[in-house]
Amino acid sequence: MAKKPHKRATTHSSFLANKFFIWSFIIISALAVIGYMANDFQPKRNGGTWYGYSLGVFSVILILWLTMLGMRKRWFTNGHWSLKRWTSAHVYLGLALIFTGTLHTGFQFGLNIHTLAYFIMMSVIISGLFGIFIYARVPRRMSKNRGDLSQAAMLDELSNLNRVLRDTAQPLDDKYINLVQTSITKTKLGGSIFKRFSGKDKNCATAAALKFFRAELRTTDNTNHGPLLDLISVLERKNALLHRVRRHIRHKAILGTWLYWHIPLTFALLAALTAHIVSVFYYS
Amino acid sequence: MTITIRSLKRRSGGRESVRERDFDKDELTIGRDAGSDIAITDLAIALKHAKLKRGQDGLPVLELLGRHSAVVNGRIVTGRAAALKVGCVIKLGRFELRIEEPKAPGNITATLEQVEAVETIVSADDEKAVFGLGRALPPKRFMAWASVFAILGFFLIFPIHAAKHPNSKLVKAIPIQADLAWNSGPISLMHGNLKSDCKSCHTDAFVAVQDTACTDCHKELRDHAKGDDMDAVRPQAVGFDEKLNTVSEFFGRPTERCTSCHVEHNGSIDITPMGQDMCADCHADLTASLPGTALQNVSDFGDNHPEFRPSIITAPDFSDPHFTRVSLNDNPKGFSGLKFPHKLHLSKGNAVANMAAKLGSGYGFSDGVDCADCHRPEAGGALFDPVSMTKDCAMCHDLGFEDDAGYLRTLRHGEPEEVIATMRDFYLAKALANIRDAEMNSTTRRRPGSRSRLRDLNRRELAFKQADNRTAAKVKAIFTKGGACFGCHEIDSPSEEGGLDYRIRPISLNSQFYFKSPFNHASHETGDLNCASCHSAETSSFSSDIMLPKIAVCRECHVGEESYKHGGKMSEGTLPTTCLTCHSYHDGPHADIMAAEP
Repeated sequence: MAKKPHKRATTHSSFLANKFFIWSFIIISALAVIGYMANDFQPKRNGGTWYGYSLGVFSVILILWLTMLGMRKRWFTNGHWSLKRWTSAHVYLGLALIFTGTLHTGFQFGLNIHTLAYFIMMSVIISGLFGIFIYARVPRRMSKNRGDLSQAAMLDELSNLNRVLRDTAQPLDDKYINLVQTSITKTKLGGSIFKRFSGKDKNCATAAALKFFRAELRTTDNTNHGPLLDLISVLERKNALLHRVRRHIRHKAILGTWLYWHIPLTFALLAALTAHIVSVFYYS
Repeated sequence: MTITIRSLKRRSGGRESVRERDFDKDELTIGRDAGSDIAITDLAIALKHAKLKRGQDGLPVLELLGRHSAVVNGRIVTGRAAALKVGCVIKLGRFELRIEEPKAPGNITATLEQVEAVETIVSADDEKAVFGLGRALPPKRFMAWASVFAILGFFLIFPIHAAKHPNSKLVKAIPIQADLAWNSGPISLMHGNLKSDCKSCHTDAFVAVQDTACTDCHKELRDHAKGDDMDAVRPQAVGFDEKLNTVSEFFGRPTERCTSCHVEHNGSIDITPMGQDMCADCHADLTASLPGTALQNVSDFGDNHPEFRPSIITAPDFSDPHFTRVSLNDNPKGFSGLKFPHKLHLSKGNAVANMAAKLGSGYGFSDGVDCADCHRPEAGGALFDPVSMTKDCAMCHDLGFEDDAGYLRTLRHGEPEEVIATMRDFYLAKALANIRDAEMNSTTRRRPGSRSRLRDLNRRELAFKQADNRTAAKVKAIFTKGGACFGCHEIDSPSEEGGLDYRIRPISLNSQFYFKSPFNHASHETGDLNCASCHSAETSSFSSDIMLPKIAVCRECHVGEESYKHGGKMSEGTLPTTCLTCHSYHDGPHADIMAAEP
């Protein structure tokens, strides 16, 4: 009988697939809800009852711990408390905060620091959820787009193409040179966040040059087409590469932007929490 | 005559490689064109850009073609021929052409070198700039700290500053009240005047609201019962509750403060807790925990509340009647000092009804007498104004006692001595009038003499005697059975036979029966409830009947809190009723003002 191949834990399982923390999330949330329903308070349920305080204290400890992921990811450990496992905990315990935090409010909202803190907390959680959503979709597309090209390799290749462009342009008539020069020097990458998200550049100098030279090829007599054809082929290669780079920039922007919300909002949350807690005891 | 062009390339490590080309001509072409004598692979250079010539004096000359230019020794040169000498540096795009000392006199030697690297739009160093978001978005760190400072500044530091220095320039300059952002919820309607004045209750930082903050305004509040009694009866917190209290005290929130029960900032109309648990904690078994108490055990209006014990007047007195609390189960009788059969007055088919019909709507009667004809709600409608003889009875029970030539003489109500005096005066006056009339009308001539004087005297005596007798008879008539006073009042007979000192017994009517839980009639004007729903006046023949409804009547609508929880429905006409629906906590005459309690 053939021995079954030893099943090894896949090293590439997602940080989302962690049963322990999924169950932690379910149990914490369920307990919070059950406790909320089971305890009635006069005149109303709110954050100032013993159960409200309990949820509040639990939530604030949880928030502080969740915040520590930012510090934790700068250390390096392995195994049981690997970064992946830590991230699982971050995600699921963060989700549990939706329940503990919301029930802490007792659904009493108003124009005050307390509700501000709550909404900042929810914004952090929602931005985190958005991050998970992004991480589930974008990396696949990203690797499909970039193939085996590293970012540096993309830029190398671009610079290489510029060199070839320069070389192929040497024998060209002077009137064409300017356009080739713009393709080389005026082709822009990156830029504003909106441009990055669009993944395109309507005013791309290379695309414009390519368009011009293709038209030129059709209209001029065919005496000296050789250099022009060469140039066009190089421009086409460059244009294709630019598309790919811009899509990559788009993916990077999508992947990165949520953190620009998640992180500053987390700090805002810590500040709002401080004001919330101090004010509650100041006017206790 | 040779022009030598040395192409110089610097390799890494400083090594130089030179390729020399000798041209046996006097004119070399310079351009991007690969066929140029000096080919410059720079797109900034035209295909045919310039010429390097031997001038007439044998020195080199640079001639630029068309409108192309070059930089010679830092000067831009166009169009014309520029004379060159040894040491001249001609800059052509990224390349330099340097005129050097020729190897042989008369020759020209120049070195061509690319002195600038090809600029690229991107390089590996720019990877971050191209792919990273650092320059496209405000930096995370900046945003993080900016929001931290903004939030802490506006929501923590500014309010604390404002609380400590309410008159500082900063606080006055900013039109927003800083600590309103700390408001955890709308304040109750009752305390609405305090909503912008946090410090009226939160007097000290980090100190929980103290009772003095409440009693500063609520000076009239009294404690529920004597402190010792309260301590003896109040159940001690045990187990979890005890621990909660400990934690609460630890965090500077003592228990048994005003705010333990009256919780603010929940946006309610008032902050009186209506639950009955707090009451039942002590009152469910009060007779055991407080021996000798006059109170009875109670825990829920629906199923554990004693029969009502109204305060009934057992000894009437005009100024200080004596009240006794008697259970309605004991069929109590009241002593008002009045006779009033409700049954008689409310009948629809007897003399009373006929009389009312005769008097008609001018007196407010429609169909016989009904309750509202006499009982008028007081302002606010909780109770009723006292019934008034003159307003409510006199239209039938007039106190007329004698027809005086077509004018009905009437007695004054409420003053028995005056009544008797009036009657005496009346009949004496009548006697006097009779005597006068008799003398004036005498037509018989009498012989002069004492006999006639004597007869006149006798007649006068007789007349006064008759007047006295008449007065006595009439007074007796109205103060005894069948008389106007006797009909309604309890009357003490004169001290001796034939005397006139009839005395009306004192009258006392309950202004209310339940001093501990004042009843509100106005709030019971609902549905098809009327007086008869609760008061059985139509069958009451004696004024001593206490026509108060028993608890069972109330329970038809009012179910206790516990019973209500187990299936009461407002829509079915049942109302959740707790202790505080009828009773009040701080109503005790027992104890001093709360602030004075130790």
